[in-house]
Amino acid sequence: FSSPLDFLFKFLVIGNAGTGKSCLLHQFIEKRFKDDSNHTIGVEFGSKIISVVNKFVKLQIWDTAGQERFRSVTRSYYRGAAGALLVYDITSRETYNALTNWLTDARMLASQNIVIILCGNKKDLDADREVTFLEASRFAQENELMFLETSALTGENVEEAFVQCARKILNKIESGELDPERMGSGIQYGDAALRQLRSPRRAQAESVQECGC
Amino acid sequence: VREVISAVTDKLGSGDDLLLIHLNSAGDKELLKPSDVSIFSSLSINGRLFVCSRDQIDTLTPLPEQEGPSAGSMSTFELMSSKDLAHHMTLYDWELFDCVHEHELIYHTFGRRHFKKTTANLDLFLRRFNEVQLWVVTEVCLCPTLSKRVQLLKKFIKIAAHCKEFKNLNSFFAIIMGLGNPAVCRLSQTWEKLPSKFKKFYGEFENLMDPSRNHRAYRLTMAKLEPPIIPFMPLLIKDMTFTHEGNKTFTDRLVNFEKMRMIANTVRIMRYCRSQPFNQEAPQVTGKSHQDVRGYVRHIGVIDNQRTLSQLSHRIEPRRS
Repeated sequence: FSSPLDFLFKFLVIGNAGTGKSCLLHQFIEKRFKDDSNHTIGVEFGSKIISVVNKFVKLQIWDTAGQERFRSVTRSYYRGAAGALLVYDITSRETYNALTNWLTDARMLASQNIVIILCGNKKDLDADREVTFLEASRFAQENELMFLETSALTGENVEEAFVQCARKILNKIESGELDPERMGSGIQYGDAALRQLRSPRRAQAESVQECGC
Repeated sequence: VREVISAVTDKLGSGDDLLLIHLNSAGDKELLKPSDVSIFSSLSINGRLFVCSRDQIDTLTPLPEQEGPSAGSMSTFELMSSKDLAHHMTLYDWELFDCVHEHELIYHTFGRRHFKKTTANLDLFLRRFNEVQLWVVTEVCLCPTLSKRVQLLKKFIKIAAHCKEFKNLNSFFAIIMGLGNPAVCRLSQTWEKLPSKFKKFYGEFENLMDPSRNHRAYRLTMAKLEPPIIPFMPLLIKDMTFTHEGNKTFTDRLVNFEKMRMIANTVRIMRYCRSQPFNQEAPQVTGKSHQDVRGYVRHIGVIDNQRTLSQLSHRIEPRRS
């Protein structure tokens, strides 16, 4: 991939267990790794470069699967996240009810400017639907979230969810609402981004005291 | 679930179709499926089971006891030494951890329904993690006096430090995460008054939880420890989940051995942690007797409704304009 990178955004995927977070991520990323059947999404995160409004943006996506029951998606996860996919399962009211809690945490622990898109996943299972589109879109509106119904199975709207979220972040940068230079914005410029990939600068700076080994 | 419902039907002597509902303290209801297993051990902390017919579901409301305590228990445990508390918490954690069968980790990851096997021991251990976390949040939020709250933070940081010394990483992280809960970490007046020495400790502890580079900080710390160790269980679960969801079990109808090896490696961490028996010498008795401490750490009352906790938090330190 030789095109210059304009930005690097850190994304989180949050929501209850069983909503298909990992599947969404796989669906999104695997288009690039189709034949590599046995790769684990780097236990840490997956990443993908997308092109949005003539800009190349690398999305670094942190999956939180397996952590849901512990409320352990902590400050350290949210630190420096520019965007988040908040996922529920349209066939499970329970996962929808949990959204408020997730949202409170995200607003509290992430940067103020985090852009969140609500994803009603498992759109393909319409017959078992427990949460209507209308109801969820109202919720999204009240909480100023973008909203899409997705299907990790068919791939419907998966790419869109990530792209829309990234586009909104870019808009915010252009309008000056978001300043990539500010610490913790979760955004980095291209060159810096490439450097950061080889050695996460922040992680190093912070673990200096710890790693006296 | 079927057994429970049929037992209740027998008792009531009614033939109506009854349902088993899990009701948490926030009033959220979950209808349990007849095929669910290990239900008692996987309830939420203050969750209760209710049996009713379909048309009664809407009338179910949480019992008062599900709300949890209305006053903190600081007056009880501030007299106990932090080391004793950590010691007895560790003994209890070890009992729970020691009961977990290695295979439960696998059933949990692949879905216990497929195996028709219980994961009750693992559930109870994982539940304890949340309980300790909520204990910290509950106590802090139920403490209206600023100076007392500062004392509490200090106390919890001390207990966490002792847990770490006892190589009980599970409770250690539970406490640190409790302190990082939105309802606690927003209390800026309290944190401001915390002596810098404690802030530094807390900062270092929090860094151990940094997920970057695949939780490198934690894994490095862990690698330096000798068993017996009580590991940070949520991370083992996360590793299992990622291995499972990131890799196919079969490729072209052949078993994916690479994946099975990865699963086995994670399970082996658990085996390694328990390869030495746990017999820590009890610390010198100071203040409260051991029985009291032991009893206290095993019967912690907590509020498990995040909304309630958050309201309490705003009451003790209103948002600054």
